[in-house]
Amino acid sequence: MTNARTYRPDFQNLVNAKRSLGSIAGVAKVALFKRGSVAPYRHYFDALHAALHDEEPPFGSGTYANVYRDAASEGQWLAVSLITNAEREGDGATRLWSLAACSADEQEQQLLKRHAVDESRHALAYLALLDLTFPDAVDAEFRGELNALSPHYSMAQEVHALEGSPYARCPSVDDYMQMNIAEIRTTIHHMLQRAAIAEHCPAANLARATNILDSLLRDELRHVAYTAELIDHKAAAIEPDALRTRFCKRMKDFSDITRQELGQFVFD
Amino acid sequence: MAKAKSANAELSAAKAALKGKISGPCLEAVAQMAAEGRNVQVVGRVRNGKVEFDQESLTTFARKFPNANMTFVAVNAPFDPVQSTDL
Repeated sequence: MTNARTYRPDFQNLVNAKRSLGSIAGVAKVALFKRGSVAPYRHYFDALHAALHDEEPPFGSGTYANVYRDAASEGQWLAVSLITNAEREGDGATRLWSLAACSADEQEQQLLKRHAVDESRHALAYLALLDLTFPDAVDAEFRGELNALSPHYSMAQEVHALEGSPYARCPSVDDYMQMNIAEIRTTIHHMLQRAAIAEHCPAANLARATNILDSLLRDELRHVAYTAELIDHKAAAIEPDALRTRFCKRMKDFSDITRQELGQFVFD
Repeated sequence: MAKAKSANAELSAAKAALKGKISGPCLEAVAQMAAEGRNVQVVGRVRNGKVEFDQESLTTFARKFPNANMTFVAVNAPFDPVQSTDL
């Protein structure tokens, strides 16, 4: 298995692949391409393509992107959205921290721990994007409080399960499927956010914002790649139909969640 | 001195415009930001690890998505709290 620490997607490829990163299969392909070839991940891609064939998830549609663009054209909405994303990244980090603590496999534990540390840092990255894009939009007291949205995890810390967390469980292939699908959507969101931030960000701050966005994109693709790799690796021990069926179900579950988030918005 | 007076006048005007819409510390913060000419202003607080936005920010959001909760958020972890035991 590729070591997540040494995996670095080539930046130029990512920039060139902007169009691919707007589609669900495109995100998975770009994420896995730098691991050599997408061919070794046959089980994963079989399951992914079956899920996409069943029903196109809303977050892969042009309408979804247009709804985002319309909303993000308003700076006030984008600022609130960046804060909400920071909150969710911090919350996700705590889930991953609990999963990591309960993993029986040392390598998986390290991958999950690094993922949790990344997401903990991402919470702060979204706040840095808020500062750069909308300087002084938030008063000092509130801005200080927002730093608490990150659990401030580091690789030097010992992982531990959070008391009462439903994610304090040994991670299964089903968990990796959910993470993979969710990270693909987060990457699609990221590409939409890049354009929106470029629209609102003061010119003097844009280079710094772009550096943060590049770092976020590399991380998101690394997360898509390592979860895909774990799914494919574990597929050997699972009936192919069972793997495909579960992947299709999880894609449908997440599509339903996406529609609920948008108030049952109807996508073309 | 004149500059300070003008700033105070702008702050009073901003407060007057917001009166009845929001109150308390939020009124002070929003009025201050409006007086300083900031176009994007987000007021809120963090309680128990969750962000609580002021009504103005929520109203902006609701105008875009009247029936929605928070949209276009990052998800990076399993989304089903119930563990699957069959796979």
